[in-house]
Amino acid sequence: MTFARRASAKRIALSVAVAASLVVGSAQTVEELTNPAPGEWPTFGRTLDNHRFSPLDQINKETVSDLRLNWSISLESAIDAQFSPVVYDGVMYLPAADGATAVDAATGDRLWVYQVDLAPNTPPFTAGRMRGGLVVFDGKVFGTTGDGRVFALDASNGAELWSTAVGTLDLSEGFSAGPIFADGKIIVGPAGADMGGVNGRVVALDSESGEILWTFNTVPAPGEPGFETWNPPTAAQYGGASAWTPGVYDPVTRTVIYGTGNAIPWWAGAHREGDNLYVASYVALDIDTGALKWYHQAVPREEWDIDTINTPVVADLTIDGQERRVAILALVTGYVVWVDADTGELLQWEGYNPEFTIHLGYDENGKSIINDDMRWTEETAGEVHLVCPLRWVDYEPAALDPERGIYFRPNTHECYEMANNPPPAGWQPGESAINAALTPLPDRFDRLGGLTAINAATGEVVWDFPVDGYSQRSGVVATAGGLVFMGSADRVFRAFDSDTGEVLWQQRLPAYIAGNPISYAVDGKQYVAVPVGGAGNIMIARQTGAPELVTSEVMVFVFSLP
Amino acid sequence: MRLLKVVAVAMSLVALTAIAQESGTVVATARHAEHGVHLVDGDGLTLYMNSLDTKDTVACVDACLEGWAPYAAEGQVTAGQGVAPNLLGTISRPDGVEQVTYFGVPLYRYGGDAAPGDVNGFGLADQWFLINPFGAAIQPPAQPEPTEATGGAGDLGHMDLAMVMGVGQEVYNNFCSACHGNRGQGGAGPALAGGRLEDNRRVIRQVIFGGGHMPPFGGALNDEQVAGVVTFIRKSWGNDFAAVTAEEVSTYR
Repeated sequence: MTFARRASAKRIALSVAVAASLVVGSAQTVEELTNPAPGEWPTFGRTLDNHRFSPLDQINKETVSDLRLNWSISLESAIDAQFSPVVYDGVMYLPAADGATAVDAATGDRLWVYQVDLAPNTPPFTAGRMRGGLVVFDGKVFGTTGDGRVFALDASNGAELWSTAVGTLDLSEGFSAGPIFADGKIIVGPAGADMGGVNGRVVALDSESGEILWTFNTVPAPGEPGFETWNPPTAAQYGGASAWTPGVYDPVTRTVIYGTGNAIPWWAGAHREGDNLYVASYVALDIDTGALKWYHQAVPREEWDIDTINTPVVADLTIDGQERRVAILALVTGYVVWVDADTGELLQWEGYNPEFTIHLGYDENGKSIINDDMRWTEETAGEVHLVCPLRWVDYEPAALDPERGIYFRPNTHECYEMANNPPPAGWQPGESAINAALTPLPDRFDRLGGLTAINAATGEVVWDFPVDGYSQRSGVVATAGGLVFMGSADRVFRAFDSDTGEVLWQQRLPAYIAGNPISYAVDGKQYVAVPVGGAGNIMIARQTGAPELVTSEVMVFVFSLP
Repeated sequence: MRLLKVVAVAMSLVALTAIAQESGTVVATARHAEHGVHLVDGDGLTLYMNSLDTKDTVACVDACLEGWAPYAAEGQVTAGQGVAPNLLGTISRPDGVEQVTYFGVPLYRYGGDAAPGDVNGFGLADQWFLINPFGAAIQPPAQPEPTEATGGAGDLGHMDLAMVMGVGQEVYNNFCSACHGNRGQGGAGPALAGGRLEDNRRVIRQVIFGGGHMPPFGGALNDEQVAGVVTFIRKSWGNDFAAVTAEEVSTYR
């Protein structure tokens, strides 16, 4: 089942005329990553504040009906492709769990492949998946590997410039997400808490040398602020709060924001009391020091696998008549919350799932209200509780159309029955500490997956499109052409009218889609690219009406006008 | 710039010295190559706990104390690097000494330790242990770990292997294929064909205890069945790893 890949980096002569719309320059600057030229998509969210919005409009409501396949390519591996391509200066860069590939963005011709041999004890959750995207900066390509490495390559030929081991592989700590770029630094969030009980972290590296500049512990170490929220303190030694998905950098407030996953073990009971900071939270860090600026904890003392990891969007919004710099956080518990990007002040919140059993909203102090009836005690261990929603969002990134003021939010009405138990006796770090049974309830509501267009300032729903059949785990791209593109597990890649949600164009592809589309331009021609296929793990399907999920090797499909 | 750095280093050295001198009693941390991070005193000497003591109660008195000294609080008790201030406290011993506690556990020094890094009291009388900065005892391993991390137990005869695979196939069809696919291709659970199944310990424990989104099967399956299904998935769909035995499974229960 493994596909052979060209092991050596190949240099292929590349002559890409710089399109008139592009800012000239082979060495990218901080300014170019903060305000990319219209045709470029140099980091995961195109802009550092993660709008996933392309200002290109060649493909628009009028012309989209002529959209057709321009090129496609197989990446010859079968991981869970949950990533986004990035494009700079006519070259597309694609991540993998074990390296990176560069292709000509106009033809798909392969330029080079960088591939490492993953360590044999690489945990499956990081060996078999990749989220986020590569970073292109200063003539280099930055990425992560499943076995915990952060690397920098020469963008012209894929030659390794440096590689830093960040993950503690003995504790099953690797990377499931690519890096983000912030003020000349490369920021990464190692993953793996569920596999081995490792402590979540956000780590900043020097982009020039690969040296680690600072580390923020998402479960505080003894003596660090927040440690006192673990009672007894011994409960803080099992880790948790992994940053499974890329965060966001806001260059305006100079703030890095990362979401964190569940506590370890899942079981709370008498084992751990207190709020258990910073599990199931967003942590906002000062880019210079890594010091905590603020946090927003979705679920204090979570015990239901609450991975609060969806990549935030940061934007200038007018809320209640006041212009603010706002971080939009989409919570796994079914809410979107708007917080001040600099202070974390809760500005407004809105629930979007049809049912809420765990997180019931916020009190007047801006703290989450949790339904304690859904907790387990030593006496009620093993009882089945309805956890709803468990994964309204997961890793799939939203888009923000700044012209229309619409936030396009892929989401899933995904609830589970969960029976939680204390961890097995004799558990030790490096082993799975989870002792829970989960049963999905895919047919509980009218739809499972969907795309919801939300007024970014007020939270009102503008339109909602039910994809149905499956969980919606592909992200979106919005364009100035008045279009939103999204792929789904039903193999269909759709273009929606941004204003109405009407499907203006669609194409059925060979396999399920869980990657994130982008749009870019080469030589004045606009393209839309989407990663397709992969291993298809943890895709929840309706019992009624969902065709069997089609998995495949990972591919990229690229569309343009004739 | 270089000058500034030198000044900064010098100043931090001064600061450290000042803390050590002014603050009477310090609890800090050190990393031992074998035992990991543990509590030490202000001079870097190892601090111990006694398993007869319980939280907020001193039971180690008289003969128990021979060769040992309660870590007495003199002045302010302060937290060094890696120590949680909120866990520091003191307790009045029956002999009147104010003894430093960590998460309520009384701390001691051992007379046989002379230098930082010495842990000569570790495990003595089966009751003297190190304590980590989370407040948990660091004890000698209760039983030796199985020596081989991967592979192992692979010498089944041809007939035996066929029988084990048969058991495994049946278990797989009944318990596993719904999520991992009838050909190990994956589905709600990860693909097992071409999966990372080298580490027999990890795979066996995953089946017994579950993890990720997978429920535990240790209750539903006996050792033979676990050995069967682990062997089956490690030898099917192009996978080729060693068989495991029921005896090996039983060591992970």
